[in-house]
Amino acid sequence: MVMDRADVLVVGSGAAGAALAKRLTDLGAQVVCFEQGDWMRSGDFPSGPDEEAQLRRRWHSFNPNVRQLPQDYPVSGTGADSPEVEMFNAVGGGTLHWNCGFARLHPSDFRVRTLDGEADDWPIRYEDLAPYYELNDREMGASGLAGDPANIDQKPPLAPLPLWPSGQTLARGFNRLGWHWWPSGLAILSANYDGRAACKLDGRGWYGCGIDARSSSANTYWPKALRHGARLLTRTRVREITLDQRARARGVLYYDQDGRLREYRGRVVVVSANGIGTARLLLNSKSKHFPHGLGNQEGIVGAYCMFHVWAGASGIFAPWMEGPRPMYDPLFSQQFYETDTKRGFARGYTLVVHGVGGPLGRAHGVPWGAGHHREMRRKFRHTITIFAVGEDLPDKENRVNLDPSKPDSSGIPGARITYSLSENSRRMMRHAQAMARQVLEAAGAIEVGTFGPWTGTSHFMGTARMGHDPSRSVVDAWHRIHGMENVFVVDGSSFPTGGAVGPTSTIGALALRCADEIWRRRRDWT
Amino acid sequence: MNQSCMTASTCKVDRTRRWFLVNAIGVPVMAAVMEACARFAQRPAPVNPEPSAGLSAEESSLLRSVIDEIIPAADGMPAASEVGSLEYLDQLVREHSEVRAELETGLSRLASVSVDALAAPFTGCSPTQRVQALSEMEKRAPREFAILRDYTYEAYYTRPQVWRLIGYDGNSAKDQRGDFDALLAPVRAMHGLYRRVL
Repeated sequence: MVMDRADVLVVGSGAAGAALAKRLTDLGAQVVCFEQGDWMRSGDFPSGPDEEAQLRRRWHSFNPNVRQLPQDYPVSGTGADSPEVEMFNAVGGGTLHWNCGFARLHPSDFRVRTLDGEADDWPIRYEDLAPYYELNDREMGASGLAGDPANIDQKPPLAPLPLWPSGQTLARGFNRLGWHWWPSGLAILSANYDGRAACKLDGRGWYGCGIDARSSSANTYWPKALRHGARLLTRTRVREITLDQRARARGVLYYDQDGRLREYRGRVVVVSANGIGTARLLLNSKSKHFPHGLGNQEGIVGAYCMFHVWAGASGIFAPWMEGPRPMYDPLFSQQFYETDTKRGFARGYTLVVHGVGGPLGRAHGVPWGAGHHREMRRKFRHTITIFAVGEDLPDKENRVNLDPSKPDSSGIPGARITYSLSENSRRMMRHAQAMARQVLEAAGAIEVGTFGPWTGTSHFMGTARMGHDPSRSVVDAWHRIHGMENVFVVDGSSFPTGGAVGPTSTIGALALRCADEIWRRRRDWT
Repeated sequence: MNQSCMTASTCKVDRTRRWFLVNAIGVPVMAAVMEACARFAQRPAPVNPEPSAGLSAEESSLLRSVIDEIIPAADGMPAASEVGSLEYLDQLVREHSEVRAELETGLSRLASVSVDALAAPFTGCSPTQRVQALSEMEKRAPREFAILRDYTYEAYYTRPQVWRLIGYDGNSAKDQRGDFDALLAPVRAMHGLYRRVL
């Protein structure tokens, strides 16, 4: 029997939608989730010896403008620093193609206005999220090491993954300078856990994983949510949120698997379609009550879009450098995470020591022709790269708009990003390049080159930001759209500021907290 | 599009940190794909979209001369065609029609640049002239040149014979777990690395 009514409708099955759906299902709600993509099973990922070549094929691209499958939507760009974005429309969303970094925000990230006089404070504190960070760590199977002096103590359920010789070399470099470093917190299994096998460290799995050792929403939250009664409608694309006569959400208008436009009714609607897709859906949900889009009375939906800013340095070392070939970063440094005004910029960045790639990836950028082999021999397995991921503060002019000139396969306008990096971010990244160079040299690099800055291609944040003030935010501290009783928005778009770590751990924690609030308000559903 | 950054002199802006993990290529927008997307009827990712014929003798000959200039025999390493790269590309073209379309775009541009710059077809050029023609193409048509270069690199660095020669052991598992404690001792003694918030 086809249901057309549920307690909670969730749009998007990624880091937020999956966590929220599972939590609410466990609590007793009837949940239906809409996902425009399909399942990617572990065998669908190119995890054999030819994976580097396979990932060059169009249909494995993380760029929707390249991949161009029917479930993707175009994302165009304007502005000085607009990125070519990476996203993946399938069950699990962005957690299908990530490096599994599972760091948390710092307490200071929630108080940027108060501490640094910039941007806005979050309407919640680190302590509000702490129990949900822990729960998310357990659900996703986080690996890491307790006792990091740069973070409030965390106790990941699994031991850290190894540093490898490349990581150990850099660790010694950090130690020589007296700088902080720590083994990365990762959503990759370092031991068998919850029915999944530990990472074999065998170099497979740039994205996805042949044995599901890399955690995603699809291999953690979803199997349990479905077993406990949640429904996941794949290959269904939500066009807009519908309203009743009282201007409450009535449900969603969506294209079913056969392309027919249908309405599904729900008592509560949750939008978790990522920082670009969420803004797109809200902006496309126009009605007489909300002529500029749902929640967009103040023109804030899509505004304050944030990506992280990136830069870094690569060093060539004389010794052969084995490193983690699965796509994970063995260690990080938060020596320069917190604001220090003497540095000439506000906020800060994390230095991330990158894993090493295979030969095809390494060859890219090595000149062709007579000198090719010499240069390849000098660089392959002799290079270590450090990335700096920095906070690009929110700017109202950086935004996501609808792009009617580039519709998706259902005729829904695509997204257009307008983005420029701030001068503060450029100063920050110049500092980061210099510090990355310093640590590479301290670790013994014989040659160092820097790169960046550029706008990150993922980590979409800020486009439906949380806040107490409806004139500066879209949702309240519980992710409810200001003035709407039964529409919640939770994902990267909820972030008022972005911090300087990957957002996935925080997105999951926010979603779990939001789920508890929706359940707490269940008497108001009708 | 994405360039790796090894030294200041070769460094260009990267758009993604996956640049040495994934050599994502810019594939031209294809009208056929867009048409297929007109209706929201989805299928799994096409593993083998449209089998087609392999390379013709003429194409093989031209491509061989191209890939052996992009990766020539030197410094104890074999040229691309000596490790089966041409056969790899032939198989790829048979399996994926869009790879054929891309390679045709690259080869056709090379032909016109070669005639324009050297007044001779590429296959009729001396090795020195071929390098000249490819260098000219790299300047005049970087996008099309990248197609030829990147497919050559793919067809070379996926060959097990090349892996052995460069010391890459593929996907062999090694026990790289170690003791963090000695290295971490000075870090554990640090304090005040995050601001406490009331």
